[in-house]
Amino acid sequence: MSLTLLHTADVHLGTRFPSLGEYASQRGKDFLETFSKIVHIALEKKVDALLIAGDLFDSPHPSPTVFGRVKAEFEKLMAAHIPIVLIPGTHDNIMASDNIFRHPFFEHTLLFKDPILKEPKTLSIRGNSLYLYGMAYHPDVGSVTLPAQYLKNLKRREDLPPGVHVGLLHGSLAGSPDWKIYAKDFPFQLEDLAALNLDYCALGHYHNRMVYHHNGKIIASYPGTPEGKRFREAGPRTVHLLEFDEKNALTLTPVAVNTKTLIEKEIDLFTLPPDISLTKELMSMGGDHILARIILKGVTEDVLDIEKLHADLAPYFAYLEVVDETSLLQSQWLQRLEKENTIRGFFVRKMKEKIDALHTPEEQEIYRTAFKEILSEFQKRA
Amino acid sequence: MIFKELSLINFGKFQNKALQFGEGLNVIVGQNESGKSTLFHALLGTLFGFKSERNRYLPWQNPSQYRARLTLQTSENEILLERDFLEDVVTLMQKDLTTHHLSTFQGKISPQGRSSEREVYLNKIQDLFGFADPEIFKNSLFIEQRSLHLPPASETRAELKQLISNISEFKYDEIIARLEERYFELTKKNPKGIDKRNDRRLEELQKQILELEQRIEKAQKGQDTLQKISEKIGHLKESLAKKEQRLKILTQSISAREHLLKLSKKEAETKDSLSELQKRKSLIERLTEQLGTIQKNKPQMNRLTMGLLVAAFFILPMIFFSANIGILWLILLFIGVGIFVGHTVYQQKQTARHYQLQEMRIRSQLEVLPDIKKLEFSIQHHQKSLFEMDSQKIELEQAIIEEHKPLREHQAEKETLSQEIQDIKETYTEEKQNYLYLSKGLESPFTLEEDLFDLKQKEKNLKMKAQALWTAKEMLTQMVIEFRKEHLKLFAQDTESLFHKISSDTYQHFSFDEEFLVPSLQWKSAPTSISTSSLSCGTQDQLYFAMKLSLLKLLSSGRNLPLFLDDPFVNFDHERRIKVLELLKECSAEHQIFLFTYDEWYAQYLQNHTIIRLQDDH
Repeated sequence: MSLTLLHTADVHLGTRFPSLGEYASQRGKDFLETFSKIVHIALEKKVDALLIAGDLFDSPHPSPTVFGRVKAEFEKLMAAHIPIVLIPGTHDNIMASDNIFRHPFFEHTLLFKDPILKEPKTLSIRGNSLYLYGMAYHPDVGSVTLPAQYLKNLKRREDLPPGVHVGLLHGSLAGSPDWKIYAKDFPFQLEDLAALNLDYCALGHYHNRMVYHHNGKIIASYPGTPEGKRFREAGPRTVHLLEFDEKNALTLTPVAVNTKTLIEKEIDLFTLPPDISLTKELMSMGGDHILARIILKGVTEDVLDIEKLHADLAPYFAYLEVVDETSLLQSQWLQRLEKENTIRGFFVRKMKEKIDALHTPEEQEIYRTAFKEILSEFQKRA
Repeated sequence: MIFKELSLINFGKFQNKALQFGEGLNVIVGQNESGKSTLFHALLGTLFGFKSERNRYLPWQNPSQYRARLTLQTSENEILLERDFLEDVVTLMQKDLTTHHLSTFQGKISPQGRSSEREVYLNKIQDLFGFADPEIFKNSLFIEQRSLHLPPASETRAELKQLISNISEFKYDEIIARLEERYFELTKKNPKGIDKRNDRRLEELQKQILELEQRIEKAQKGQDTLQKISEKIGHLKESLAKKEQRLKILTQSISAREHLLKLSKKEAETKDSLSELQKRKSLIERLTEQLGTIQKNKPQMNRLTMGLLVAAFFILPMIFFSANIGILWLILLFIGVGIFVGHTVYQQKQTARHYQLQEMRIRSQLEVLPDIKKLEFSIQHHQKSLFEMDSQKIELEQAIIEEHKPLREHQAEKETLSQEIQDIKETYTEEKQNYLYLSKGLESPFTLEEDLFDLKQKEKNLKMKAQALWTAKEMLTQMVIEFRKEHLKLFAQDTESLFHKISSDTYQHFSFDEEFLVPSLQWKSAPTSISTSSLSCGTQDQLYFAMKLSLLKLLSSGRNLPLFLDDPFVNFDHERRIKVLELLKECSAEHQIFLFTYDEWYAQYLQNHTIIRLQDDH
């Protein structure tokens, strides 16, 4: 049978973004827009089902605005007879008795609202069967019950008539890069997944795209966040389009959906050619859809006026953070100051001695920053 | 070190104007607007380039060429420095006066640039002057118009502080104030414990963090509580299942035992009834047999009796016949036969009656007894029931547990168990309701912890920044004080010796109050302290000039740098002016001095020195 599915996860609608300051509310809107895009793709590609592998919402109690938007978008899918398959995740977990998935609206979706799967759900698509396995994340996992106890319920039911068997799972697969595994994250191994013997497992929880193979075949994937939540989630963000051919062979295509793009870039000012203006260089990275965190590094001759740099550049970005990690300690300017028989020369000499005499890195960091602040004042006055 | 020549190739209003300077005192005379300040800025610009004033000195003619050249001489070297202001390209040629070795350097040296050439160049400038900062150059080498006098007594302290904290190189106090201001933008808390009234960024952030932490704690506690309840519910479920299982078995056993009792009773009854039936059956059989015997033995009177009766019928007429014929014996015979027949018949009748009676008795007995067929059916039925009861018994016996315990005990246990189950069910419902109630509105720690992480990061940065600003402020304050202390004595000594030279040994013990930096000195004739404000204006000027010169020495680490004075004595009376000029002469032995003035009088008075006249001759 040929079958087309769209797999997304970790949409995190209703995230608050306290670190984004004034941009936070706009960021919330970006996320909703991206969600609408996903629905649009599902409609456009006429997929047979939309799979959401957890954390559709950022909390178990999303605001009415967020829920309203989700409902409206889901209704479009329902009108087009596209089933919505979803599982609650870690953020929108089902521990609270008044969690959003208790809303009667979800009765119109294929929601796995129990941590223990008894029977797979069956969808009949053009006379063929799609068997869906899923489980709701529950915080008891790890502290009360081992993940394996839940996972075993997702094992392929061999006694069913022929069809495609697809699972949905929210948890962390061991071995993902930059990913610490805690008991509460529902950890499992690739072998555990392979042992389920499903045709595909739609994963959620890990925020960057990963595709997993077993015996030369794709068996699972994380599509990542469709809209970057943190600066680590930079670049294009995707959903996964899954196509099963007549022989149940799977083709996975990532489809970019992000509304805005996050950029995290380190620039070493020491290696930046002198004829290139830093402001212009950074400006060229900008755009209305760019949220950037720029980390300036390296030895510089001048203390950077970060506030001014930020003020100059901010209009060219949707959101901008400039982090100054440059160092003046090795600069020629400082070496000249050191030789001066002035207060500032005296200050530089004493300060260098002081920093060298400090023991803890924390103290050194404070004194270095203090040093930089004063040097910056010296340069402003100069 | 001296400036030997300044060549304005194309600079402002000057074109190909070369000015040669002498060692010692140079008097540069020119009317206002004749370009005196242009000269100074040309010097400054050639050395350091222009930041914002570049267009101010754009050549009036042929602005595509904008250049100046400066020749410097030290005890060992002659240095030729040329700057193209349009491109900010500097050419530096250095000639060793003894070996005549020549080195050339060229590079783009703009004030804001960041090139390695710029650093090389600036290091060279620092070697020459002891510093490489145009601001310091301007503030320490240049004495502006009307600036050469001690400020009023009320301002002396601040002004002097500033002066000593380095020839106005910077306003350190302003920097310190600014650092403090920036610190209090971040937080209201002073590390020394004095608080500002309103919350600042850090405090607001900390409030948010506290609130979030409380929410997380609540969520976490809620989750823990729910987990415990969940575990409890699990245990209850388990124990309920066990107890219900036991109750089921127990109930079955008890009922089996009760059933068995009933069954045994019924079995006994059935057995009794069966033996009764069997007895009857054998009675009937016996009676039937007896009846058969009777019927078999019953005399068959029919033919004999009939024969005898027929015979008897004939006997009487025979008797009469015999009597008629009168044969007696015949009569007697017949009578005898008649008697025999009668007797036989009678006997026969008697026997028949006996049998009849017996038969009747048996028959009546049989009549009250049931039908043998029915009886047999009934017996069969009974036997079947007994068989069934047997198998039932086996079945029931299997359901029975702990046979050794009396039934009573089991019944008591059953009662207790039922009660317990009831209680557990109640607790279970309660806990379930509890769970539902407590889990209402429970937030996800995942969501909150991410927010907290962000806020904490922000807090950490802010705290760090605040701490750094405070440290910066403290360090700078401390260093300024330390510097002053360290340099004050040196400075006072140098000022004193210089002052001696010009004030003909009238004063002694020049010193500064360490804390307030108030200068004081003594009459040589009478060792009493005198305040500087009580000195004559001329003496004050000398003192101030001596201080400024000492500072310059200090700053250049002993290099005798040139000094520029822009009409500083314009408001001085004659006597005062003479006094200060004498001082300048004195100083010019060590320093190259440039005196800019519009007043031809100076040229006359200092005619033995280098006089340069700026005229509108171009």
